[in-house]
Amino acid sequence: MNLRQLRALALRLAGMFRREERDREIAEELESHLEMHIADNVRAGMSPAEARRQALIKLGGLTQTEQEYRRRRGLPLLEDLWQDLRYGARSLLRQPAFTIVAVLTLSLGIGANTALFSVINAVLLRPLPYTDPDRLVIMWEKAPTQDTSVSYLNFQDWRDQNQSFEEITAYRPENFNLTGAGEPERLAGRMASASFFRTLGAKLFKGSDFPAEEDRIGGQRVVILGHAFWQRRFGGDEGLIGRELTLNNQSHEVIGIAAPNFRFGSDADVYVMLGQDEGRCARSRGCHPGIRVVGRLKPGLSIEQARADMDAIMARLGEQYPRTNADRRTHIASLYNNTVQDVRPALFILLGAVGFVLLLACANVANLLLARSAVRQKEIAIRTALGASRWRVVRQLLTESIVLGILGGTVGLVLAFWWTGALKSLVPGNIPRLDEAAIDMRVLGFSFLISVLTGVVFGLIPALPASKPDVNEALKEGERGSTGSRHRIRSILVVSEVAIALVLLIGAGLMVKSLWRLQNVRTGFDTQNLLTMQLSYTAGKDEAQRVRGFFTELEERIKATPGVNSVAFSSGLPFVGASENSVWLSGCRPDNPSDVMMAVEYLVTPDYFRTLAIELKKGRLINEHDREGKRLVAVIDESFADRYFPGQEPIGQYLDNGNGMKDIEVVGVVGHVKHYGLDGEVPVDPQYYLALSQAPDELLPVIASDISVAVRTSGEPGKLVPSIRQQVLATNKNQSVFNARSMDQVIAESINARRFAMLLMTIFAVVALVLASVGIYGVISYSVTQRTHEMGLRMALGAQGRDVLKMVIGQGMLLVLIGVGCGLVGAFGMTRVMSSLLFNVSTTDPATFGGIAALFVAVAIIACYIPARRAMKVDPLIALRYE
Amino acid sequence: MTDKTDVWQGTLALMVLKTLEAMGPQHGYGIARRIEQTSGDLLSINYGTLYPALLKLEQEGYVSSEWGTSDNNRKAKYYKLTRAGRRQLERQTREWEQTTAILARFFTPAKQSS
Repeated sequence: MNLRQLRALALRLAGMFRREERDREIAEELESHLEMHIADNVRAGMSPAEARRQALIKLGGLTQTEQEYRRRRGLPLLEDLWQDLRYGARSLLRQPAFTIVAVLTLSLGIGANTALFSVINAVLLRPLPYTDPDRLVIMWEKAPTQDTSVSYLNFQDWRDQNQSFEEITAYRPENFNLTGAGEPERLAGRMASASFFRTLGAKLFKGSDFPAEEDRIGGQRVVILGHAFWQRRFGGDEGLIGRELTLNNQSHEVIGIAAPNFRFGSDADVYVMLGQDEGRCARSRGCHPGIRVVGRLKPGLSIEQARADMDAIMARLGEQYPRTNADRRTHIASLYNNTVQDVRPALFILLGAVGFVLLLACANVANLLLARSAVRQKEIAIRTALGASRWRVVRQLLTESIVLGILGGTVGLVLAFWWTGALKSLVPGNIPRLDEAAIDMRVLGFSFLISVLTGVVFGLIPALPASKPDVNEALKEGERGSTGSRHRIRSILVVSEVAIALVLLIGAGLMVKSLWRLQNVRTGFDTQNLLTMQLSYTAGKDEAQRVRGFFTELEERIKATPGVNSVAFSSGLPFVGASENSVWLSGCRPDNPSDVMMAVEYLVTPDYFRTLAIELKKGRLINEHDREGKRLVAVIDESFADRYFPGQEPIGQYLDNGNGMKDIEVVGVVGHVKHYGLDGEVPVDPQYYLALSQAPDELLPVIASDISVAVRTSGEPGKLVPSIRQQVLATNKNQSVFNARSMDQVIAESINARRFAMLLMTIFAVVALVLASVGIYGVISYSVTQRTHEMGLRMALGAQGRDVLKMVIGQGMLLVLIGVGCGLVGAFGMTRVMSSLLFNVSTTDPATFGGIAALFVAVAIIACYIPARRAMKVDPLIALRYE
Repeated sequence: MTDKTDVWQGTLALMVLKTLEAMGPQHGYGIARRIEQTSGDLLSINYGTLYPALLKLEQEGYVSSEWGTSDNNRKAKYYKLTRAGRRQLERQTREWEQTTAILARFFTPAKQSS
């Protein structure tokens, strides 16, 4: 474009303004032109009238000239667009019901889609926030019967012998007591080998990485702080580096701060080197303290190659250390798959639901536009008759669709922001990577595009028949012109909408029922009014007596607190966690370590059974007389009895366990409790209870460092937390209580992911139900309008209002029933993919299928009834005169 | 942006410019009559098409316009060639002559055997 053209363009842009003035000018110019021409013609001998006629003919028409002139003066394309926009807005405003429904439909589709997809994207699709995440693998040990964590000594051999990894690191979660710097605090931490950050490819925010040479017992103790913890506790003070922090009574030098976005699994406040761990486990190859190993594959290496490598190493170790390593293998999986595997099925099914809802929204918009197109055909015929070109009409319709799309998209964007926030706040922390969810602009764009495209395609339909030259026909036929095929399309749309919505509703119904079943699972103890807390009592190795004293005193104090019915301490709690231990009949330790049976072990105070309300089946419970120095006693659960003493009397039998406790007498049998959760796999089923005070002296301080408190309250458990905390501080001022939650809360959190999926699915199903109802309503309502004339005739001929009502509802329900039929068949096929999300509910649960179908039919009847009532009220006289 | 009207308008614009060069400032009616006369009444144009063409030339800066009074005391808008218009006219004349010369060769009887 050269300068002249640019100048012309600028002038034409300017020409779009001050139009009246400019119009006057051209009118004057043409007037003077005509006058001169007429004068010439008169001079040539014409009559004045003829002279004017000839002059006008020669000019080519006054109006036409003015119009051509105006087209050149401004920019017709822009002016038309502006005109179309105004016209579109006006016509949308004239039909507010249509506009509101269309915009709501679009925004629901776009909003729900974007919010959901953003969440799914954050959890599932986006790569892990580490360098080259697809090269990261996670490993643990695999025995023939069960998977276990990695023993530290095995990790060292893996590290030194493998050929597959660029870097390899071990880590385990550990909690730390921070003391000596103001209020004592319980910190969540990771113990990790020195290569931890390097393996993940994570840069530190400040300071230096772990010094590899200190990653050993006796090495200099250092700590790297999590960024959030550093900000929260120390206000981001950079001077902290080089200073000392007391963690678990050990002084640690702060050497670095992790990057703000760095996290691995759940949040960690501190990172400490694993090799310095003096725990009872670090020197035992048979001890598996919860260590996981992460490796970074060498470039180009596959997991299979690494697995072969690791298997070879484990085979060697198995020969070298048969007592601990016989038959052990390495489980190795991509870190990404491992991170998301639990939520993957749920999210993929939700993704399907998202697609369905978008489909519904599109079908609905199409439906609405089709209904409208019939009305608009006449209008378009008139415009065509007045000289509008086909392209011009198409443009007008396009503009309207796009205006609609933009409105819907804008509202949808707002909804998307709102819902993404809402979704994130619904589930605090329990779903990995959820907090990374942010509105994904690509998704927003995609949903937006799909919706607008639907609008454009279906919005153009009225233009197609109208573009036929037979304008007369369209004008004469008015609103009833050539709508037969269109009505069929709309019926098909409604049937599919009903079918899709029904599938979603049935899916949601199955999930609701699962959750309900799950919540009614018998846990084996009373979960109501049960407060749980964690306590970490720090004591030296030889201070068992002090530990016993502390708990005796604390028990007395808590028991005396108003509102407390009973209190118990235990090494573990159901749903909260407890350790597993190997147990065998006294003197009969199996030679092969993988034959040793494991049982969940609870070391408890006597009031434990009363506090949790665990039922005694046989014998007696642990009581106050089972103290240190007396005969060791155990209470086992039914599952333990079945497994170890099938068909025998368990009471009076003797057991040994892996902690070195020998000749423990079984004195009672209690009911089984759900330990690992309401659903899902149960790694170790048998359970047994020991007296806490009889725990070996060297073990007691270790147990005390992570003890669970259970309090049976007479009222709302949460209210007692402050007074109990006070009692703890009164017993020992350096002692903090953490993780105070009611047992009901603990259980609710354990099924959060499931509840979240159910909630989302239900939201989708309800949106789908609403959309489908709107679709049904739209079609019936339109058909009623269209048939007003016919209704009037029928009523004039003696039909009663009731007959008309029946007819209209019957017509609608026919569509609905066909849709429900298709939906049931579809659901039958599709719910199968949900089997992993369901609990004790068949994927074709007849009650759910029937109930949901009935619910749907009921809603559909209402959707049909509203327009049908209008049909019933038609006044025959007016209806016949109509048009 | 070339369609039939543009081609026609291009030719028309050249005629307008040439006319203005020959006659000096002139109103639309005068230009139209003159073009018709010059063409020996072979060319019968709708006078109306002249006005958008004049507007285009004005937007491009080749002509300027102002209101004046005609010979018989009528108010009329007079167009006159600008300097840029003069240059444009020269350029266009040259191009036109070239084009016609090339075309002429095609229409003279072929000399080579065919």
